[in-house]
Amino acid sequence: MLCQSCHKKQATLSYTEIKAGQARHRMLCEECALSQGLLSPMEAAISGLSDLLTQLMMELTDSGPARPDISCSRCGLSWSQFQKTGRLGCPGCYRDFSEKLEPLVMRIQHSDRHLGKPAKKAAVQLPVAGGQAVILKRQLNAAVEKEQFELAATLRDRLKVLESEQVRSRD
Amino acid sequence: MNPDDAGIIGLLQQPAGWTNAAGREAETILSSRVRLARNLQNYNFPGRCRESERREILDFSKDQALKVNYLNGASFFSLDGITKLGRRALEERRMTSSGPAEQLQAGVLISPEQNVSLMINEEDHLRLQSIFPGLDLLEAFRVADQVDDQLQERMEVAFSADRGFLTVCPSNLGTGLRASVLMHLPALAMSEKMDGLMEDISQKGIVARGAYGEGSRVKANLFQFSNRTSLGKSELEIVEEVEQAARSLQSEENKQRDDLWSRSRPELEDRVFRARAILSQARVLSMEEFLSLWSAVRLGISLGLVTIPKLADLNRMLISMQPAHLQFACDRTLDATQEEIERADRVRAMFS
Repeated sequence: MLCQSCHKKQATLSYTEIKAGQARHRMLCEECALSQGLLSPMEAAISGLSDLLTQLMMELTDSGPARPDISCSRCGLSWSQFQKTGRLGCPGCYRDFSEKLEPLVMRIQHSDRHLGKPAKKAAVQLPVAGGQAVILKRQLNAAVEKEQFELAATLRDRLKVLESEQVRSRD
Repeated sequence: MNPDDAGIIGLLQQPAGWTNAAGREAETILSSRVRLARNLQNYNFPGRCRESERREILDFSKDQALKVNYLNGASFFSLDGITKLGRRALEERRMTSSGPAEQLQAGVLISPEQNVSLMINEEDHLRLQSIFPGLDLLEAFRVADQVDDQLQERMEVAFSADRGFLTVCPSNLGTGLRASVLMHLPALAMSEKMDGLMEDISQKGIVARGAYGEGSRVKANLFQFSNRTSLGKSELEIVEEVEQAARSLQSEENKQRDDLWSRSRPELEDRVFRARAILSQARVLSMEEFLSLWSAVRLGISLGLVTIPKLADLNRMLISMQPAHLQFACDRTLDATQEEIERADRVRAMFS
């Protein structure tokens, strides 16, 4: 059910208040409970609010239905199904939902780049639609956002070179 | 006892490796755990597989895993083969997560020392876990990493150079790594400092959870701290961040303990000795009551007020006094009252 205070977010806490011998029961979202002083920051930190999955589900609900809905060409999962569960259907979903997943991943992970260990036995690498240019554009946006202007300038130059090369190869 | 659970009884009779408290760190840090999520490239994720495919994944992964270090000689438990009570016991041991309840063709391999486990067909195809006593995240990671390398030589996992290891939930994407420490923070929990510390921790990208129960309710002053994000950092960076958070919380907890000791020793002693008195005399004991008294006695041990039982025994009680473990230990079904009587009997025995 929706929070009985803001009427916007999903209620996750039940709160019973006893005033003048009368018990009043309310369902609240964590933000409202926090702002009304009904939940200490510690309780909030430990509760679902800080949980990545909860955040993901909130992002998904906020991102609204996709029209027209798209589906993964490998497993058939639709984006709207993913929005309901927060769970992808197969490795191919990361490719087919790439555009929609990208901002989502950026928001919950604060990064879109794997810096950990690589797979051992060169598993199939998913092609990135648009190739190198897309990666450069993404890095450029990140650099601008972080106000790393020198890096941004370098990336912009590289992108220009790449794009002119692509135009030439098309000619 | 149900014959389907025959294999579990042997497992439950051995203490779980992570309960072996060692060193001063063990007073505040019970265990360090590392989990890696992996999926096979050529199959849909478990939730979108046919049962026959899940069977293939289970058989294949199990066969391969039994050939790698730490898991050779592991015991296998089919999660659809054992009873609900058996599954509950594995969760109480922290060998499986509560996960999807009725998933078919799922199973878990548990190493002989019960410090490495591999869950198959849970949320992801593979969830590798390594768990060690005290603060030893680096060792937990080193072991998991080695097993992971050997597994990857034997199976093609879903990976993209860009996004790393592909997981069912994007919150595990990249390294697929969750590093967590289980901490006992009774003095901090009593203090006003806790709220501020939790905020600091959260800003450093560390998630805090109560180790028992759901949501914001913390029992026995047991907290679990883990990394929030799994992408954009190396495994070692993640491990280091969680380890640092654990160290700083530990030093805050120790400061707070010293402070309590010097400022309100009588009250502190009173609390510890009352808790010990109840645990050593009670005839009926709910899990809830046990956990809160357990916390006070555990604090008493590290303050030198309580010498029996030992810290490791107390850690083990955290597992052995839980409902499914009690039923297995008595080899009969217990109703709520019988369970509380049985718990009280067994706790008393530990205090004599």
